[in-house]
Amino acid sequence: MNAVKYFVTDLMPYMTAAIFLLGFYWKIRKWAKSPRNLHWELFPYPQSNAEQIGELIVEVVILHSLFLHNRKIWLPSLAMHWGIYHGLIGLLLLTAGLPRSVLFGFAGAVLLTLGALGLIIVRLSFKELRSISAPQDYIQLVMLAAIGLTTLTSNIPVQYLVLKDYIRGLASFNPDTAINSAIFLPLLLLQIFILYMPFSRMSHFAAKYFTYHKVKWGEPQ
Amino acid sequence: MNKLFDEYRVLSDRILKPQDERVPSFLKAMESSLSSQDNWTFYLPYLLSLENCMKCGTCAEVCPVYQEKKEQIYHPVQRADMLRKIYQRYFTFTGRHLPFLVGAEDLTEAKLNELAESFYRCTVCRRCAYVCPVAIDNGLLVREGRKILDAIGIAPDELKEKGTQLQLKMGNATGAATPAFKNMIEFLEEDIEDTRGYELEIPVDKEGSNFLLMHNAGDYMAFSETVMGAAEVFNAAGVDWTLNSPDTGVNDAVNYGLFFSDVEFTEVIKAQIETTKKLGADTLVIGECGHAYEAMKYLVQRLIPKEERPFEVKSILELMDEWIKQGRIKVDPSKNPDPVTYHDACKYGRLSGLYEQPRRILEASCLDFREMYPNREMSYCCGGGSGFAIMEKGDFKKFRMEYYGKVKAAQIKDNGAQVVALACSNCKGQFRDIINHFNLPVRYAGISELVANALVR
Ligand code: SF4
Ligand code: SF4
Repeated sequence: MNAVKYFVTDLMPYMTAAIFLLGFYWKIRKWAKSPRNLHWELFPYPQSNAEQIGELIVEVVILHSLFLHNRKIWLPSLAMHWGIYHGLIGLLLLTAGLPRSVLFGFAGAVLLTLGALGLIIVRLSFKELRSISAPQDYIQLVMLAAIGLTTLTSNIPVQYLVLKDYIRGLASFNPDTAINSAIFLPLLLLQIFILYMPFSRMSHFAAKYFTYHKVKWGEPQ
Repeated sequence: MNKLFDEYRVLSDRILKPQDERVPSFLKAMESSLSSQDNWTFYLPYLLSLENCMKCGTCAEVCPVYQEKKEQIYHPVQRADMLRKIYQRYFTFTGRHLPFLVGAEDLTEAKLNELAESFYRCTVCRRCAYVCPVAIDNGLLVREGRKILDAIGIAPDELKEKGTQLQLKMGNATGAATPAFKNMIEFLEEDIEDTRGYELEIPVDKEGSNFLLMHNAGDYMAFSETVMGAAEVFNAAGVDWTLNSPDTGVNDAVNYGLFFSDVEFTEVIKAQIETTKKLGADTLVIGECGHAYEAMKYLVQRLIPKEERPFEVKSILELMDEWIKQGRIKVDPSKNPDPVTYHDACKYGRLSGLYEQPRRILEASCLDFREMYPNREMSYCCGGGSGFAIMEKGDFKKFRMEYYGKVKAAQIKDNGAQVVALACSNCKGQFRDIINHFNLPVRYAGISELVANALVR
């Protein structure tokens, strides 16, 4: 057990980071190196950089397309995405050593869990969604819900100091092996998910740059 | 013909060869479609659309085919997945080794038949792509699928044998030779004289003119009011213009390659460019034909270098709009007193951004212009898109009416217009059928026809 724990807490994070970065590099390079496709934009599209960034922010923050055209999955999807955003902010604050990170981590985990569970329920309850779903579509939601749930049961507020030292240890390539076992499970799940991202459509957030900037949005007129 | 997918059959047995072994060649053609060299024209959006669909179903919420009866077989993702499952099974690591996980499936001859038919149940209107949160393009996947099918010899004869191939051979997809074409022009001149009471000469094959006007050749027979209207407007504007006969090369703006094959598309567009160069026109004006405009205005840009296209391209809509604004032509809206509405053709609107020009023209030349809803970027495809307007075999007209026509008919009834103004030849074909089929108390008219009717001389 100690060896496994050592692997997950002390070695795997570096592997995960490396594979995540390499995987994304490979994927994005493939997209970026693609020959320029024929004009295929859809009108109207935002013209200036400011307009484009504006539209991007609105889409990322409130999931505008879903709000307008697919309301039934909008709320759970919004909760899930906001959960992820909060988690990321929490992680940043944690790295910076700010106690407020606990709040963000907690809110993130709650939103992520509710959102992912909500999406599983919606996906299962509408026939038109069920019939276009493969096992993968449920597995990734279950994974996200599990990350949220295990984070909640690990009692994050209490773990704050431990986590802070752990992250700092990782960053200085001198991980603190004395990590609390309550963090073990969410940490493992999170890493599996991060490993999965570049090789699945969980990279859609990066794909969006290309689908919007290179295809859907044409040149300024 | 046996039914293979639903109650319609677009591809005849002769073309589809449903009993033959075609899977290996399909897979080979698909492999080539996935090469950034062989398929550079659409490689990036193709790959992105294959790899990043989140299965959220937003596309289905706006798809005119699916929304009509919510039949699962017409779900945009279900259709795109027919191709995606093959992609995953044969061309991705996960799909090869863990097919059940991602829903990858072996391709069988029966599935190939279904795919081929299914890919002719979507007009590539791209309404779905406009709202997709990830900007995944189910329409594009359909078009790519059609390209693969064409590469193994499966394409509707209306679009290929009697479409692109006939156009390249005869100069137009209607198969009209020069004498017949010239007769037709004379006839139209007489018709204008009879109805309007003045003489007008329609110039043909004039070299070095400012404007070469190329219509969808189908208009000469089916929608001659548009051709006559355009002639009247060009005449009233007092510009140096000409039509052209098949003697000069291609005299048909259509490019059905846009609907099913980049190879055919390129051949046709090259022939059109050659013709324009030969006639030495400064501007090639695309008549009332949406896809022809998209092709010559946008798709051509990265396909043929600018220096090989030494002329401007304009839609007749842009010209009429400019001329009205400049006062070059004068219109009196009271000559078109009936309530008029405008249908945004997908190819003019979402795909080319010509939203304001037709509206300004109609507001200037009609007394009562009213919008139909939804419109502009959310306009519903009429159902004539991607070649459908000229496809009738296998009870297909019924499909066009039941799945697209119904929505359009309801929109027209709602806004009480008596005239539906149309700027696209394929839309005209479809609306002619919709009006008959649903017995609507309206008529359709080309924009040029309405402007001509409002001309003040
Ligand atoms: S809206 Fe886009 S991401 Fe959602 S299911 Fe349709 S194609 Fe896929
Ligand atoms: S392109 Fe149009 S018809 Fe085809 S799936 Fe999308 S919305 Fe439906």
